[in-house]
Amino acid sequence: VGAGWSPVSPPAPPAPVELPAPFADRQGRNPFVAYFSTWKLALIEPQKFFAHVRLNQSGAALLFALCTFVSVSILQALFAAAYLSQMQAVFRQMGTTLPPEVAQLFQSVGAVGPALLLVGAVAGVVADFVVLFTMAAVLHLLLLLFRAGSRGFDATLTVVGYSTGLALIGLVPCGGFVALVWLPIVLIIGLAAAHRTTRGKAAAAVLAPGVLLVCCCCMGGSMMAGALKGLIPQHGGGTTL
Amino acid sequence: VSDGPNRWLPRPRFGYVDVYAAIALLSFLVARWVPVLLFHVQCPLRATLGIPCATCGMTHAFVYLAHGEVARALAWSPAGALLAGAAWLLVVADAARLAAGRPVPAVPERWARVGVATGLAVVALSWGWVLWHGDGA
Repeated sequence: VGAGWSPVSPPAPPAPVELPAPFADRQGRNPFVAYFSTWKLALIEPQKFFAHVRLNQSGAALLFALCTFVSVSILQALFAAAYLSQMQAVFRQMGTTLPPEVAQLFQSVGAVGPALLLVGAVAGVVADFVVLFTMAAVLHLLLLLFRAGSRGFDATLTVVGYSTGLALIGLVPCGGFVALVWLPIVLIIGLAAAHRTTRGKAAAAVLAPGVLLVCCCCMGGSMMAGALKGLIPQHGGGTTL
Repeated sequence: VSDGPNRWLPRPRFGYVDVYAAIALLSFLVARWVPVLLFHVQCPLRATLGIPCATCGMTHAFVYLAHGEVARALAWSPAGALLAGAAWLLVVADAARLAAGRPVPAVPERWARVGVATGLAVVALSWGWVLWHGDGA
């Protein structure tokens, strides 16, 4: 054996093939099928989806989020309109027994109700986008802090954008609670797969704000306990008022 | 007749920095002209334990800074006032960058990490200050 020969290192694993998400590749396809295929992949199989999804198409992820937010806003507005019409029917029945000022107030609310619903729906979509971008920024900064944001902001924004599909779950009864538990799981798996990092680092980035909040609560609890301890009489003596 | 080489420069792309600048501008407009302080939302930590959380007072800080009351903004939340100032500086800087047709400067990852750590330290110090002195409430 000649000098300088080293043991042959095993071949590097092949780079995973990146594919466009079904929603990004929707040209010539049914857009609803493309949307729900992406929804299912992102939320049911996040490891497989985010490990292979093309990350330079974050615009498609944002469009996916926009479709979700608009759908949720429209459905919420319809629910609110149905509720408002029921309330108006109740007020009409009570109209004769209500004081005139209160009846007038209810009438004016009923008159501006549709406009309020429209403004609320538009403001809701804008607010959802602000939350999406803020969440992506906070997550990416924390990933950078843990040296886990190797594939750039596009990767984080793609994961957060496709995770917004969970907002549809929030429309069904108890769905909000399910989404609250499901979202961090999808984010942890998705960020780890997209950034090619460990789930521990991804979990640290996703859960750090919550953990900090719990620490706040614990510290507040200990401060409160300390304050209560000061009020409890010691050695059988009473407190002096 | 050519207008010079600048004619053929690509137009600056509307990127993520511009989105964040737009969000910062929206925060200024809301803080300046929407009566957000009328909608009183109780902090869960303050409601349960009676102490402010790390982000308590930030809405007041944004509103007072948008009205030019720097000392009052700092009294409510030093981190909130600094965040508002930084966000609105980003608006001005990004507008100037777009006007000049300059690209977004690349931030080395190490600087970003230092920035995040500094930001967290500022929030922690601000929270300590608010716990010690009480916010402007």
